[in-house]
Amino acid sequence: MEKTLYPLNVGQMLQYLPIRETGTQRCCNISVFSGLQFEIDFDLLKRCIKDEFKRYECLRLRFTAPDEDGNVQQYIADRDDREVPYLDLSNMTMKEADAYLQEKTFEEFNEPDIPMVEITMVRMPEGYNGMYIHIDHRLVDSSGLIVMVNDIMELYCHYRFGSEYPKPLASFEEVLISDLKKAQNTKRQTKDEKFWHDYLTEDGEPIYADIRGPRILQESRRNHGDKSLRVADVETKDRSVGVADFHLEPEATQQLLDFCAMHSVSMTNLILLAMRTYLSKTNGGQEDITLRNFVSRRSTMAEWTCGGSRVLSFPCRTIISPDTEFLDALYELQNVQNKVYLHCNYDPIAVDKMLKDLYGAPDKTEYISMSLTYQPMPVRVQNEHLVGIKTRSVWYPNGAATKQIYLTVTHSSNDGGLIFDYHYQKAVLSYDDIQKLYYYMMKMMFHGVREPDVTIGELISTT
Amino acid sequence: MDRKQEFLEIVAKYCDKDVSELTEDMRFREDLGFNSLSFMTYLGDLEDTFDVELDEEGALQITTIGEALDYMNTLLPEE
Repeated sequence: MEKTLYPLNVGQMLQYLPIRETGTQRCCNISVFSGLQFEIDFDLLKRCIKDEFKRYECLRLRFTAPDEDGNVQQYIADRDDREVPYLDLSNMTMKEADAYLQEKTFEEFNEPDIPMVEITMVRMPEGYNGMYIHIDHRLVDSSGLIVMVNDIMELYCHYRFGSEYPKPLASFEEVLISDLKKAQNTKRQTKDEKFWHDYLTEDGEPIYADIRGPRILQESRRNHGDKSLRVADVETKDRSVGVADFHLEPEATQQLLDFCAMHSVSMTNLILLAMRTYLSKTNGGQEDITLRNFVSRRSTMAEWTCGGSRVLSFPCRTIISPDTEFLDALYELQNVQNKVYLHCNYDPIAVDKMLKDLYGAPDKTEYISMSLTYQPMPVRVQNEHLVGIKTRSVWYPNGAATKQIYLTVTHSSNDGGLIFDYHYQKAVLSYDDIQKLYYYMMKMMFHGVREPDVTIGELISTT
Repeated sequence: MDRKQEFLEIVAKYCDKDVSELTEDMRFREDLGFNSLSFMTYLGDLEDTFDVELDEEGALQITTIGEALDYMNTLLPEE
């Protein structure tokens, strides 16, 4: 049967660019263990995983070899009938088992026209049983992965406990066609382009800020012999990644959620405000701060369950004076973010290029040192038959830091508390730097939540 | 398809509800589960479908389906 070839959507393209730059697919891998502390029927789990390859179209995505311009195309294979491998790591310690799975994370899907995912059933130590999923980021992002894990477990509960058969998942192909059509809507494109141009020019050139203080920008100014330079050099040779995880207790998390609900603000914006206020603090009260916020472009029901990578990232720039009260600063930031959301169908690669071209930033420099992804969907199986069973979800880093600091905030699968997962570039930052960043972010957030009329200047000087 | 029906079909794409279940007093966030991103994307969808230009500040004040319908009617010629 003839296959229909499609270009990558912008979210997939964003994942593909590092592959093209580095020549290796590894930087595009997602590897996760997801399991429950209960005795799984592995034969049944195997049946559910096989079903999932039929239900979740994106798992059957394949990519062609790059053309002369380095671009690949994608298509959906009719079927994938591979056997589901099984791995017994129960005789290891948890640390050893994690190290084993961490090593598998580095396995690459480098050939064209091959399956880009491997799901392995795993028996882990301490009674945890589940799946190790090793997958190319173009097939799923974190939301897509959670949808998949939940769907497999819903199938399991259907067969095992007779619960309702899960609703069908949306077709990746149909949503892709709709995405590509939207991308060709010239009226929308023109409107979005104008927004981004205005956004990037109305306050002039942004300026770099780093948690290590203004010396980083000063060094770059010296390196380039330009005293007015507003971008900093980035370390591109050593991309090795460090990971620092912090858990915020459920009660404290609830305080933040209640505050957000009471004032109609989002958790994303609260976290962004804490990040920017710390950058302001470490840079002598600098008012002009730009962060990078990752947006999972899933809004319609079909977009939520179609898989694929829909994560885009855009700059979030705010200029906040020290006499602004915490809550007002939060609304200011939210206002900026809402406008960005209205125009987030635009290609983020084009936005970055526009920024570079507007101000002639030298190669291998950046305006932004910190990025955020907030994942509101818990990595938790929601079926009533599995409620109360302890879960374990581990995201194994693929070893390549594409950002200096990339913070992912998720809700813990066990207690609903927030997990702050920082991936940082080890060549330039230490664990202590990140620990300090987390400590101050928490101090600032909770101070602001307790006293919403505290000014940003007071927060900077007293925390 | 009349305007209201078309409008409701767009709303239904964003929430786990059938068009027949939607009522004008339903609130986007509290009753239909919209978040900031989905609400802003939905506004963009309205602009594209009905070929109108929304005033962002005004549109952000909308809380219910009925308010959104009224607002759209001010931008479009009478049916």
